[in-house]
Amino acid sequence: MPDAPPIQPSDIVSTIDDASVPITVKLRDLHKIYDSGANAVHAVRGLNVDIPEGQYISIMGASGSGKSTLLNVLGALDVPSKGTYHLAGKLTSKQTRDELAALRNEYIGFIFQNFNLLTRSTAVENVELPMVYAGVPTRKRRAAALAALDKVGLADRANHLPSEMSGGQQQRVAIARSLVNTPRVLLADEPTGNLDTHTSGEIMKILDELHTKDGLTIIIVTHDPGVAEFTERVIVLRDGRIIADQKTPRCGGPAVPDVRALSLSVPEN
Amino acid sequence: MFALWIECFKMGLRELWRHRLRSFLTMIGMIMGVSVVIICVSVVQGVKDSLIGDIRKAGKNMMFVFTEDTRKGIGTIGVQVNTNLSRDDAEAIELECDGVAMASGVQGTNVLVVSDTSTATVPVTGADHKYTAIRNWGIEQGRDLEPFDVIASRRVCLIGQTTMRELFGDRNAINRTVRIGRISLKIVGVLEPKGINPLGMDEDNALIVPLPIMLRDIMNRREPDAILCSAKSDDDVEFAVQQITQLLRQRHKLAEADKNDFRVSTLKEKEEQARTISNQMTLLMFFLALVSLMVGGVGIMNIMLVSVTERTREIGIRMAIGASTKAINRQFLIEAAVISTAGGTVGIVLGVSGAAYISSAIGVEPLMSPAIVGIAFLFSAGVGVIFGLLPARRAAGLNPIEALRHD
Repeated sequence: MPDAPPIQPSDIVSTIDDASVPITVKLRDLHKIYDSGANAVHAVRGLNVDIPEGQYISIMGASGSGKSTLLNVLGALDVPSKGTYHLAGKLTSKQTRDELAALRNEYIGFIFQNFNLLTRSTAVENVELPMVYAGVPTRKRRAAALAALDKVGLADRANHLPSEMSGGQQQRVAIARSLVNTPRVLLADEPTGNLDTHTSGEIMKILDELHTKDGLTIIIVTHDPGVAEFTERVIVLRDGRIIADQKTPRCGGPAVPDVRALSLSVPEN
Repeated sequence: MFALWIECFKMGLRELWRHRLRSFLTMIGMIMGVSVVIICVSVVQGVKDSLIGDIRKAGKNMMFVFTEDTRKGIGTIGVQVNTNLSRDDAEAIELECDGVAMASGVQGTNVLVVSDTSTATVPVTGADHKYTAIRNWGIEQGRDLEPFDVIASRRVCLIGQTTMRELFGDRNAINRTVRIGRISLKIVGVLEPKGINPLGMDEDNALIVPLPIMLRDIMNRREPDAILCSAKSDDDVEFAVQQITQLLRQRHKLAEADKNDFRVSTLKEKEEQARTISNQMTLLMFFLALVSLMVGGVGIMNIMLVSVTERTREIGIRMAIGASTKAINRQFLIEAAVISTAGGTVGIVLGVSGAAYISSAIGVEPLMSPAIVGIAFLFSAGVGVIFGLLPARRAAGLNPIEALRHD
């Protein structure tokens, strides 16, 4: 049982103590209510979060804590019911479906637990896809896709189908795909959830390099404390509220809480 | 903007190639629809053209005057013995109508004709010496009927190619004798081959005898029931018909209120009929083809709906990485349009070759108008777009979050 983390209100806390760094993700009093008839589900209840550019942050929480909902909003796949979400200075809550799509295309790179590659397209075709929707010309696209694959060490697998690759390789293709449009934020949803320990380490190493070398803003949603320890800052959600927002041991913070134990130890109120 | 269309088109092609069998089966509806349109339209139009060509060859300036029974209820079935026309009518028409070049009373019947070696039932026509001239029919061998043959009721005849072959085989028929009942007729001329007429009858199966022989000796009647006339030119036909009608009403002493006791029919009229019938046929075929195109379209819609459900996850992924609803919509719309136009193109190829084959089998020149091919192509593309609308809208309307979670 780890030390009980200091439970803080949803204050704005930044682990990078340089106030001059511009804020990439800004959430204010964010609510999301799923209204399915009689029983409305209040999935997220008033979140205030600032994520500065270049921060490497993890969001933790047990299932039902509202982290998937937060991920959908952060990924501009969904709009908040109340409150605001500014991504790189753009207010997403007022945008149409197509404007959100353009925003995702330009600003966000997605990495999923189950990779979500197009199964009947080759690796290079998968990596090209975001550029197709960004309107990049064919020749330029192919070159950029191959460069991105090279970056994740899969240049020799460019013409393989996902089914011909291991899980780790598929996830690397997905990382390459998330990077080709030079996004402002990389959103990873349980990126190692379907991988063994060794492969997980490889993937986390790539993400770490993207953070340290390229200064990319990376948000990882996970329930694995081991994954969260790679990041600089961790936000813990429970019942749609932030119950902890702290530095990780790597940056001199307390130990990362085990969310599964946490959800058991704190009784429902 | 334009680049996205090309991308969607490429993706559509790739997707269809991945599901080759399914795409092909879906296309069959379109292939059938389009090829049937092209075959039907070009064959029917080809038949029409050859029909009209035959009519023109037969002589557009020909007019027939038939007797018509005006007494209601007493009309005889089969051979009409009473006739309102007469040889004098024919003579009067030729003399008094300036639109008419020639006129001849004609009487036809099918009778058994006997030669020294065989017998055959032949359509025998009784006419005067102007008959071959009116019909624009040459004499291959021997001589034509002459005025004297008709006036003197000489027992002579002209024989058509087919009849000659049936009765005499390869032997020369000139100066030989045929028998109709107890009358012997000497063959004085062999007619030139004329071929099959628009009604599908062999014109060369013919025996021409002087009109008095036909009336008195063969049919035992007084006057012919038809008069064959030729107008001075093709343009005079309508004028000539008017004149004939006027003259005959006068000669038959018909009152103002009486109906004509004869009917004038022209080949020009027949040509109009052929045109109308074939145009109606074309229209009918067109509607049948439209139905089959619709069926093909529904097939496409069906397979596209299946495809959207099957590819929900893919659609979610595309949306997550930035595909707009427009792009998804377009992707599926183009897929549907590609299936249908590919089907249409195959249909055009099959249709054109099928039309050529069928036409050559029935012996007409198919009429392939580029317009029909173009219309068929556009129609097939349109069917794809129209029946792709619903599946494409469904795909574009998916919620990306739910689509991503779909398995």
